[in-house]
Amino acid sequence: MAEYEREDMWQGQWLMADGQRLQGELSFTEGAGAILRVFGSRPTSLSEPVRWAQALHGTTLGGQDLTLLDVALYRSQDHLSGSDETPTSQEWRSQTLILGVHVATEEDLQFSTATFRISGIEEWLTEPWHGPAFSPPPTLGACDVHACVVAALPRLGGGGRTGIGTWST
Amino acid sequence: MRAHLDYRPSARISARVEDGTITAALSELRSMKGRFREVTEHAANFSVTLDVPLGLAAWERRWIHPLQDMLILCTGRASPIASLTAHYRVTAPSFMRPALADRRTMPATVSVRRANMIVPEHDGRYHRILLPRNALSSDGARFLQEWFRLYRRIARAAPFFFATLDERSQWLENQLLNLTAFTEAYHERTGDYPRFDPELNNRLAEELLGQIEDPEARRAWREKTAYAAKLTQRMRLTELITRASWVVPALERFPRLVSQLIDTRNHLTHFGPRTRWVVDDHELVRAVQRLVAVVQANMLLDLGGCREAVAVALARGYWRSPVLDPGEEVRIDAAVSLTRRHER
Repeated sequence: MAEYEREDMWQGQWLMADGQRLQGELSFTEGAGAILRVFGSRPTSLSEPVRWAQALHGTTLGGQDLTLLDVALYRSQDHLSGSDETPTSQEWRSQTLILGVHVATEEDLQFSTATFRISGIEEWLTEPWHGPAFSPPPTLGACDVHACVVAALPRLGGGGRTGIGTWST
Repeated sequence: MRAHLDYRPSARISARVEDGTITAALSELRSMKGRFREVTEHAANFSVTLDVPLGLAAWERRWIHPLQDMLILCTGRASPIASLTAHYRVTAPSFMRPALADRRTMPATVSVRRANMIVPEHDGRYHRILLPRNALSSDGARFLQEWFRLYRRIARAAPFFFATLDERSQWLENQLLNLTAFTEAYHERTGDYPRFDPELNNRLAEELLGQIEDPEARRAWREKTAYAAKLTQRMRLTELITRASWVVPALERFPRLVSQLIDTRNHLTHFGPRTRWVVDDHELVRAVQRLVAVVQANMLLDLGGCREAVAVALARGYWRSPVLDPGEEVRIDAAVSLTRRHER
């Protein structure tokens, strides 16, 4: 199937798993998912960066809330400066991005209405059909087709009825 | 001629299923860009409203994936999810409440993006889909209800079939194993019956086991005899193929299909003997494709399709295809000789 890559980007501030607030740029592409690159400084007392987070929360410059779920640290680089604060840059990756709300888990996002698009729905809704109606009207005696056919088939492992004649439309 | 600016025809289908309402609709929005250019935008999607809110994972499992799989069945091709938007209401800040209809809540919209959500290019223009919505005429609601009823019965076996059709990078052998496992589960859940009286089987098993002294041997025989009254995979597959052949007589051209599928599956899983019916490469491709057609025919029948309509659906989906008509097979030798003759 031919596909095209669509990439969206957001800039904003992110609350990291170790409690630091860092500036970052989030990109999302089909296939690769979300890639968050953050940069800033963190205390040298924090020896090792956290490597996984159930959720990371960000806010874009326009004020939109963003949530990344099941996020893994892909790359991290600390630039030694000799002071209490170490400049750092990190790259986090996630398969799920939620735009519009901060949630801790998928289950926290509770909703009662969803709109979703599935490839092929346009063709399914519009393509013409020149055959008979799929389902016979109930007045013509619709029956359990499976039961009709299976019952009419030669029974396996023993004699039985043959011939298919109980179905009518 | 200048189009009406509010021209929005729509093809839609709507049904109440369990505790939700499903609507699938196509809307067309035409607008004028300047004096001479008209732009038409198409947008189609599913909209589902539930009585009780659900979490994202439950939404995907109970509603989104079933509808995705319905499209995979009806279109006969991969149908990835392209977008998902959640709608709900949140408590509004106090300063906004006087401006709200219910004086309390306001709508919130959240967009969910997953890495496997793909917006494909429209490549299906020359592909005839099996069962378009128009085949259902005014009976669309019943079809949706029947679909969910069938899907719930198939339950966790569904991914064996639909993921195989949706995931084109699967190894052929994996496709065969998934599809044969699915057909066994499908028959078991939709048309199962015992080979003979299970009570008789219990009595015979107890008599037999009473004669075995070695506890390990007794345990092994108990396991074997417990399933003696159940249909075998070969029997289930034979029934499904026979049923599909009733609708699509072209399948009768492949009397060895059951043996090919079962023997190849056994050869792969048990490293069993390579019988004459074990198939590879091209023949395996066709055997797998024919099994898909068998499942499609059976599912459409189980969804309440009449024989003629299901036959038309399969004829559309496999139009000029060697899957059901070996005469359409491209023969390389013949093509090469034809080309050479032409060159001379």
